[in-house]
Amino acid sequence: MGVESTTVGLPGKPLAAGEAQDQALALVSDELNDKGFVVAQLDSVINWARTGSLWPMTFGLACCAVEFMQTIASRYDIDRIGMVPRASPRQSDVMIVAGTLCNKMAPAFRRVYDQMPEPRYVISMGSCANGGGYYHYSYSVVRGCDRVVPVDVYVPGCPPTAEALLYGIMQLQRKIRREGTIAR
Amino acid sequence: MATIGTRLYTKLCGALVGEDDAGNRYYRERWGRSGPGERERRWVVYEGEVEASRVPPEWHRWLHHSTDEPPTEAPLRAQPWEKPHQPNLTGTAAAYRPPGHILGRGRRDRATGDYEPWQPDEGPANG
Repeated sequence: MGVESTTVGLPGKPLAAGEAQDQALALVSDELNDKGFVVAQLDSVINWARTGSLWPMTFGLACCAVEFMQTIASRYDIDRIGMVPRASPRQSDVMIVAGTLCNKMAPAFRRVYDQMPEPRYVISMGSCANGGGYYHYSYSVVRGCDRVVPVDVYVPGCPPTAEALLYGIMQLQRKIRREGTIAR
Repeated sequence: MATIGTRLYTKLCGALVGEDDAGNRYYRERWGRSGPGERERRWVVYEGEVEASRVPPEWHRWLHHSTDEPPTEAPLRAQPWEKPHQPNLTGTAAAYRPPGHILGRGRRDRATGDYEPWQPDEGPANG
């Protein structure tokens, strides 16, 4: 795939604005150019459909859920990018882990993830879900939900603003567009 | 590239304010808004990929109504410690990888010894 094989600039080295940077950014969005015509068109249609209706599983565990609710509500309104919160894992595409994941919750969390159909994505929202955060040294808290499930996007913050979560969702859409796979 | 709605609205109602180094164009409405709770509408039409982090900080503060003067009228003084603006490079080869990242070198630096590890036979660290 283009991102791995084509190296533009050195890893970790910032690129100045200009042609090289545009080229690097184009690798993210225009990977379809590397592929054949039919597959590229099919891919783009599938990715368009997927990014346009990411139904989130409501997995609010703690105070981050309040910011998640605000992202759903009228000001940021993720409904306009086709996100409808679902209460059932069988109908959802992305799980937004909003809050502290306790040891007691971890088996239930994993079960909910296992019940989601492919392709499924996970957004880890807030310090606690990212790496334990404030409760990192607690005896009863999982030190990051990536110890239980694979995570696609990490949203930092304690709690992240609704705007930050919305940007994280857009990064997930960008990732889906970039990966462009039919089977995950 | 913007959506059809944004392009149409830009054509009908937008007044060009300026353009940044990356070629993104910034617009405001041709008429002002002065009603209660209303403020001027400002928006950006991206050159290339639509990605919020491509807006540089001086335009970001205008776009978010932190200031009324766009940087074309009142440019910010560039501080000597300022680095050029970078969009979010996640997913590209130029993305930041911390030392010890599994996609980079894969090995962490040795600890420098600037801390004192707790030893079990010393009892609790704080008495």
